[in-house]
Amino acid sequence: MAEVKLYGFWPSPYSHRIIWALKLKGVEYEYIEEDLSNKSESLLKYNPVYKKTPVLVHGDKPIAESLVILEYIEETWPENPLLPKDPYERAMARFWIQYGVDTVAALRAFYQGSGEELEKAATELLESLKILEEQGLGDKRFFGGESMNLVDISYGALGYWLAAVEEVKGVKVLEPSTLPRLHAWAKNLDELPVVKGKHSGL
Amino acid sequence: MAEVKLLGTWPSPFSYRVIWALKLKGIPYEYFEEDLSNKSPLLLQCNPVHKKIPVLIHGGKSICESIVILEYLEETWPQNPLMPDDPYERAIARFWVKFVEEKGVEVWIKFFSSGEEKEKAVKDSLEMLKTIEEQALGKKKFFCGDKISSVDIAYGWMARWLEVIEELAGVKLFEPQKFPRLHAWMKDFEDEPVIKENLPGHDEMLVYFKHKL
Repeated sequence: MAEVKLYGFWPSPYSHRIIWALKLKGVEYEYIEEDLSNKSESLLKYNPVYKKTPVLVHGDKPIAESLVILEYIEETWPENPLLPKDPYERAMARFWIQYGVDTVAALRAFYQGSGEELEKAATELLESLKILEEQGLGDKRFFGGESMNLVDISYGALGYWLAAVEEVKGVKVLEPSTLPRLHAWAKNLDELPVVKGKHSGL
Repeated sequence: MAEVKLLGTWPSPFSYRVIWALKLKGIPYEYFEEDLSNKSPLLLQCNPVHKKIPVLIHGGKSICESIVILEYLEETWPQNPLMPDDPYERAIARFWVKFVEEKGVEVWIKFFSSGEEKEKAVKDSLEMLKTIEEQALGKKKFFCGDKISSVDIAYGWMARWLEVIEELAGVKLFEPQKFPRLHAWMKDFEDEPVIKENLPGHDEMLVYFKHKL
């Protein structure tokens, strides 16, 4: 079995995605913490296009971009599947993962905004998350049903990351009163052994 | 075999991605042209989240987002595969699709700004083209080898739409001598019979997009 290395950056939720996937599949790996202010030769060699983390190196083959890495992990280690079997269900899972990519702008605006801009950003973020809650999550415990899958992994940081930003900004978006199901989802996710305590206090 | 419908608009490159994939795989389908200024009830029902095209409807189930549709087509109709067999090569393919999804949009939107924003867009676009030229294409005819793949399909807008954008924005971005591999790829891509028969006309597109600006 070729060895697996993960080049990551601890504060980054993108790195956490890969850790969760590897742990859920029981894949042994070596974790290498990168100092992004002083990038290693290895990182620059393995990700010449973006020079970012996370990068998974399997054998000597590097893969960059967390969502690409997740699909690779799913195909290479099929045990404990993290995507549905049915092609239509898989398409729906990929749709909601893509929706998360599109939501990053709203999250960024919330993170960077102040005053009136912050209010506007909070409203827009809430609207985005409402759609996610109503049409993506619905009444399921996790996006993957009874257990977490790649969709949950892709949104995994939402709970704790957003909570930290809300505290800094003094504005709440993800609450039981505004987004009851998504709020419950974030709590349930945080309780899973794989996720629990895997993120440092931000 | 459940019927396949495609909701699209001419001349959206996102629509064309799905058309190319359907035709390359020999999947019969019914095409519906959408008027985006007057969206059909079917579109609103099938893509309530984004209300955009393309939408693929297979046996009554709708799939949205062109790249998601491509993956769905690949999994549901494995004949004439559009992705490599090997998981690592598939990861590389997906990486380059993501790259153009992220960087390509800038070309569309910011080219039609002005001043500093436009200058930056031009600079960023040149860097994007340089990366594709030097790191994505290599010595192969197409992105993944000798045959067209989903990656080529994702980059397909460069084959015809890029020159239209350049003309409308008054920017000369792509010079064949500066990007020989990309230039060769564009020719090979456009020469593929399925693509050749399914490309919007340059002049018609100029008229259409000029109208929109």
